Amino acid sequence: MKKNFSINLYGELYDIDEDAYETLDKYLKSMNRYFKKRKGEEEVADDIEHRVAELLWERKEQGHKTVDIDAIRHIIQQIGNPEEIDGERDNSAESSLGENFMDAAKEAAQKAGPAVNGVYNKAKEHLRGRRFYRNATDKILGGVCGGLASYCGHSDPIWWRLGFVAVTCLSQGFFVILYLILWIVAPEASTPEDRLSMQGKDINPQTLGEQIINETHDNDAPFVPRPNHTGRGCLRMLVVGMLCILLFPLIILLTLSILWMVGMSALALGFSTILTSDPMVNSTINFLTTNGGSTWVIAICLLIVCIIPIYTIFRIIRDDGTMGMGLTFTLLLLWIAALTCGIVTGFLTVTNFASWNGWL
Amino acid sequence: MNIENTKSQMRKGMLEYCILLLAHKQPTYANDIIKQFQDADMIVVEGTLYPLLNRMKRDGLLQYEWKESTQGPPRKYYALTEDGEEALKQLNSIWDSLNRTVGILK
Repeated sequence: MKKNFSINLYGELYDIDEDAYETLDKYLKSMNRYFKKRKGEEEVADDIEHRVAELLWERKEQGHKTVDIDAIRHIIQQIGNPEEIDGERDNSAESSLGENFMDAAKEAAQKAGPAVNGVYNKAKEHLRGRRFYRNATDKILGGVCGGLASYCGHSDPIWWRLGFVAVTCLSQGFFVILYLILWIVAPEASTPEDRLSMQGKDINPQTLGEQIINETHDNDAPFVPRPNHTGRGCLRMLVVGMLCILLFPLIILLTLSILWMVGMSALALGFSTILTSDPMVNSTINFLTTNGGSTWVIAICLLIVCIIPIYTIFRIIRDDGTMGMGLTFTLLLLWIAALTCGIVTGFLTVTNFASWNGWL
Repeated sequence: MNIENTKSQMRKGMLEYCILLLAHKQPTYANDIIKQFQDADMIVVEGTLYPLLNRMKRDGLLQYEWKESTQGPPRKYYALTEDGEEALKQLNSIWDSLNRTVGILK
């Protein structure tokens, strides 16, 4: 069973299945983007849309009541490659990260002799037109390893993932930071064009059409939305397990900060009179009731510092997609701010407490 | 000699000439051109026609006007401009002479 709705194409209504609509929309949009970049050819995208409308109309006349995914695939194939045969291709694709790097490597390679130069040329050929994206369709956390594997031309990112885990253990966690930086810096491959250049394929109407058709085949099995690579499940379990271990201290800290606040509230309400036998306790309580402000700040900062990673870990465990850039940045900033504020206030309070007791 | 390149150059030249021939007879739209090419056993990937028509229009050989259709969306009917007529005349004569030459050489 599929959801079906009506679209209006040049004044004519067509009943179209949801997946067929999404594919058609993706196709027309990528054609639009493609021809918009080429001077004087903007109209071609419009011609293609008219042609699609015409083919759909013919289909309707033949008695097909709804437009399904096969019809759209067929239409995309029928239109074929909307480029002039042997049309001069100005493949002035934006120079990729890799190419810039390679330019710098070129001189070094030429100096180093023919063997290195051979490797250099091979690498250059491989990286031509390739861009580094996070792989949205094959990911465990942020798709960084999937993207790296695609960038280097490997189809299965398992070794990249295992490698990352290994170097993270060896470097005592340094590579986690590298991973996070790549996660933030690298864009996610969100359009068919992105996914083509992630795989280092040329972007032209022909390859775009093929890519879009292939993606519809991937979606034919809706319950396995991502390719099931070797060890994917195991690795995910491992990551989730590690995150769960991280959760424990965080939750304990969170509980402590909440208890702290409860205690402070109790003090503020005058329960301090019960515990006044020991002079040390007495002086501490006196300090706390007079310096209540800064201790509250510490407690709230501790709360924020605990809650943000807990929230993030829960999102990762539940696997409900990556967070948007905006949210990620806001949380990260908030976390750093809370941590800094907490440490500074904590330090000040401790020195304050020491001088209160006459230790300084 | 790059045989594929030569073939596509020949086909490309032919394609433009054939479009001029069709548009000369009467104003015509893309689907008509595709059908007539198919009838004439000339294999054309449908999509390649649109950029070609677009370029010929930009080069001033063709002009089009929109016409409402009772069968589907409105259509662009292409006709020859004066430059297009002139180009067709030149292509006709070169075609005749090429045809003769090839006929003699074969």
